[in-house]
This record gives sequence, structure tokens and C-alpha cells, in this order.
Amino acid sequence: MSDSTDEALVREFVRTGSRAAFSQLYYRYKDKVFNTAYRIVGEYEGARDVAHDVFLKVYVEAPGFMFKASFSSWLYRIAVNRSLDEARRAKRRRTSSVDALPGELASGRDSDLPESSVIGKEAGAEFAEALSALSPKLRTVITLRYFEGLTYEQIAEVLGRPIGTVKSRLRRAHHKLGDKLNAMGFTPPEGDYGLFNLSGNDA
Amino acid sequence: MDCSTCREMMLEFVEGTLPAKVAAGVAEHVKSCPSCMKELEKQSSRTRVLQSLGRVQAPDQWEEISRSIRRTGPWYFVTKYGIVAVIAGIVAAVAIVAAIAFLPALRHASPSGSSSNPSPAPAESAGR
Repeated sequence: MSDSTDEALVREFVRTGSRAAFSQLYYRYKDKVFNTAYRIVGEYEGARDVAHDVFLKVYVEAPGFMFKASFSSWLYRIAVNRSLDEARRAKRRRTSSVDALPGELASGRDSDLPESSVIGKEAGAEFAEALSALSPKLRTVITLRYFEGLTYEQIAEVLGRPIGTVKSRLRRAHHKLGDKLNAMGFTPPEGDYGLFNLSGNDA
Repeated sequence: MDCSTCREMMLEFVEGTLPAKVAAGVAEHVKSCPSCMKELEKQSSRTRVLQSLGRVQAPDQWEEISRSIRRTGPWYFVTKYGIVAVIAGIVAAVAIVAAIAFLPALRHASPSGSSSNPSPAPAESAGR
């Protein structure tokens, strides 16, 4: 069953109530759901709550899933909606708190942060701080595009918005991110960051 | 291509999602425009850094989720969001369904002289 498609697993789970099929879907998607939540909410514990609720919702609502969209798009949609909700709650908690703690993405206190992997710890932390300054909506498109690697079309399906809206949100997110990084005096880490080949047209 | 159009397409250019012909136009403009070239370098660097940020190790919550399913199942949301919110949702759903179900009956109950009543009255009266 480990090679089964998502659709086969969902159908198996709905038809027989198979806990094994559901468990397989969980382990297949737990990283994606948790990371999406973590990037949008900005808090580890908040992301845990979101992931928990998302899979419970999938468990409850799977019998009504009509396969009009892919299972992963449906799952991402649930995760994004629940994460945006949690981000609002987290913001209320922070603003009502005397300490007004910033998100963990900004403070970089979470030891699980992987930002040091390629670009260096300092640059990663600066980038994370700039990201945390974006609105949850803009963080959502950045998360789906760069952390989850979804195409514009897939993001549009998840958000239920036209592709044009997705592109304009991404552009806005980049613009704001650039402004924030400039204000922080961020300089890109050294290395070959050239993505484009101006001599060719294969960009 | 002017600077404004070039900037508009820069993100897709960097991500390699533009059609080849349009990408060539962007490349052509950037080569002759230092300001757009600078912006392109920034955009490229930002994109590459974003793509290089890794994933967080997700905790294994299977046991926790299984427990919630076993203990509460569908009632989990009642306990989490409160019985009042859930009942309000159910009442709203019932009201909508009832409105849809009784709408035809309400239409029939409207006065016979109403212009919206599609009754065959004229034919009947003609028969008498």
C-alpha cells in the first residue's frame, strides 16, 4: 500500500475506515502541512496545533471529498485556512500580551530552524525576520511557492484565486521583502546567486 | 520593452517561467538598463535565498491525532470551538435548508391574484 496514490488511499480510508490508509496519508503529508503552518503562523507550538487540527478535519471530512481537486490541493487549502486563522489568533495573543513577543521565525530562537543550511546562520536569521514582517497572506504565497515548491497553477487552486492574483501577490511579497531587507541593511551572502542567463533565452 | 514592463516580468524571468520570446525581451532590456540590471540581481539573489531556506523537522503527532480521533472524533471541534458556535452553525444550516425546502410552498400560498402566480385559472374559468 506504500506506493498507493493519494486517491487510492483516500478511497480505501473512506470505504473501509482503514486506520492504516489514513496513517499513510498522514506520514506522507505531515512535513508539508507542518512546514506550511510553521511559515505562516511563525510559531512552533501554533504550527503543531494547526497540523493536529488539519489531519483531524481531513479524517472527519474525507467522506465528503469529491476529488474535484487533487487531495494535496485540498489538504493545502485546509492547512492554509487553518494557519491564517491561527496567525490571527497568535497576533491577538501577542498584541494583548505585555511582552508582545515576536514570532519564533523572527527571533530565531527555535533550534529546529533550518535557515543555516545553505546561506549561513546570520543571513538566514535576517531573512526569516524580514519574512515574519510580511502579512500572513503574503507569507502564504511565499511559503507555497518557495518552501513547498508549488507551481503558480497549484497555488491558484489551493487559494481558489486566479493565477494573475497569485503572481501579483508574489510580486508584492518580493517587493515588501526587498524593502524590509534594504531597511535592515541586508547584503546577499556571497556565492553564485545568478539565476539567469542573459546571453540565452532559456530563462 | 520599457522599465515598468520589465519589472513586472522580472519575477517570472528569474524563476524561468516566462515564454522564451518574452524572456529574450527582458534579457535584452536588462543588458542595456543598469537600473533594471541592479533590480534583477537583487530579485535573483532574494529568490535563490528563499529557495535555499530549508524545512523544519516536523514532529510526529500520529499518536496525538489518533487519540483525538478515538476520544472525540467529529466531536473534537465541539470541544475545541465551543458548543455554542457549533450549535449556531447547525441552526444556520437548518434554516438555509428549510428556506430552500419551503420556498415553493410559500410561493403557492401567495394570493391568487398575484402576478407571480402561474396558476391555470384563466383556462378553468373559460371552461365553466
